[in-house]
Amino acid sequence: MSKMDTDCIKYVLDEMDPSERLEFERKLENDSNLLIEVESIRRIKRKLQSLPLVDPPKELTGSILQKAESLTKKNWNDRFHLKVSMVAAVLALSVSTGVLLTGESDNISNPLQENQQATIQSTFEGGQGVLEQQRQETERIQPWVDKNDVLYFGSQSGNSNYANFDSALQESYRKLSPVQHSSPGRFIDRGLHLTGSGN
Amino acid sequence: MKDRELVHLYREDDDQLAFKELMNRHQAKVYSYIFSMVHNREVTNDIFQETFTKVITKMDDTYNEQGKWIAWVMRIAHNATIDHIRKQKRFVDVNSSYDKESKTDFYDRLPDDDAVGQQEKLEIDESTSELLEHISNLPEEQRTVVMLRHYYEMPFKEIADLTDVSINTALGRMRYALINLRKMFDEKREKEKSSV
Repeated sequence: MSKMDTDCIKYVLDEMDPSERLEFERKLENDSNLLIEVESIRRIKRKLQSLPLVDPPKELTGSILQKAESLTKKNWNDRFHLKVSMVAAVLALSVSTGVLLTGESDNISNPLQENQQATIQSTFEGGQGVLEQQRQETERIQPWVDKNDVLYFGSQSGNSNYANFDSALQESYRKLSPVQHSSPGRFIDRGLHLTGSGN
Repeated sequence: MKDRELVHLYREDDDQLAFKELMNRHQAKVYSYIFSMVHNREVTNDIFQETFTKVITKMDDTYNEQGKWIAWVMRIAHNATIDHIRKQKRFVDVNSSYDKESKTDFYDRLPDDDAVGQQEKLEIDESTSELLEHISNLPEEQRTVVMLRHYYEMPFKEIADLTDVSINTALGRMRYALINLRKMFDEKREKEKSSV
């Protein structure tokens, strides 16, 4: 469809803005074919004005109105029930909150509260027991000896370097000095006594 | 009172009188539109009822008060009408072969236009009857645009939205509809002249 065709129908059906309309009317003055086309479409459009309005049967509209009314009643009932439920829920919530708050402030024995306290106490006691057990175990700890890694100096005693080895051993004994600040608790804490190694 | 205010009264206060007033204002246009599309009183009644049942049940959920209420109602009516027309078309397509039991074929099962015409005849003058006949011969898309424009003075923007086409397409359909109607009137006149 050309722009002129579109403009033609827009003009007849009053779908143009004022500036478009003015421009189109200028064209109409200079173009007789366009004028004929417009008048022809306008004539058909006028014919359409005679199309009758048909009323629906009264019983049909009556039944629709009845349906609307019954649905409204149903909706009203639903809404009422919803409101009642909401009010009940709010009341229940506020009552339970109030009881909890007053129970806490007045030290009123409350089964829920007692239960919670018992749980906390048992947890605390359980924790204490574990600590005590750990402490006892620590005290019972004996030094660990790596029996697979013991050096037997006797195996080297038969060779010619025995005298040198013996002197070196004596020398190392001589270098040993007594512990001045022993801290036995450290060994207990760590639970491990180190022994010497052949390497 | 404006439509919007009536709708608000019905939705918020369950005002039945407001809904009745809305129906009184628009029922004839909605009914006429459906009738002009299907040309059958029974079917029109069914579609009209279906339309307003949806209006009642869905007004709270799907109607946005920003838009025109009647445009929303018309969309429902239009969709229901088009659904019916398409179902009819499918029925004809599926049953187009020869039926051994009834010994009829597609042409035998075509609706008798004259019979329907007699049955649905309204109390109207001859020229209007002729116009209705010509309109019923228009393709569905063109007829839709003509009727929406005529009964609702709907802007082409809204017609385009309702029928899911561009404004130019809607305008084009209107133009072809008017040209076709002119052609039909001219042919009828020619026939009458030649018979005299």
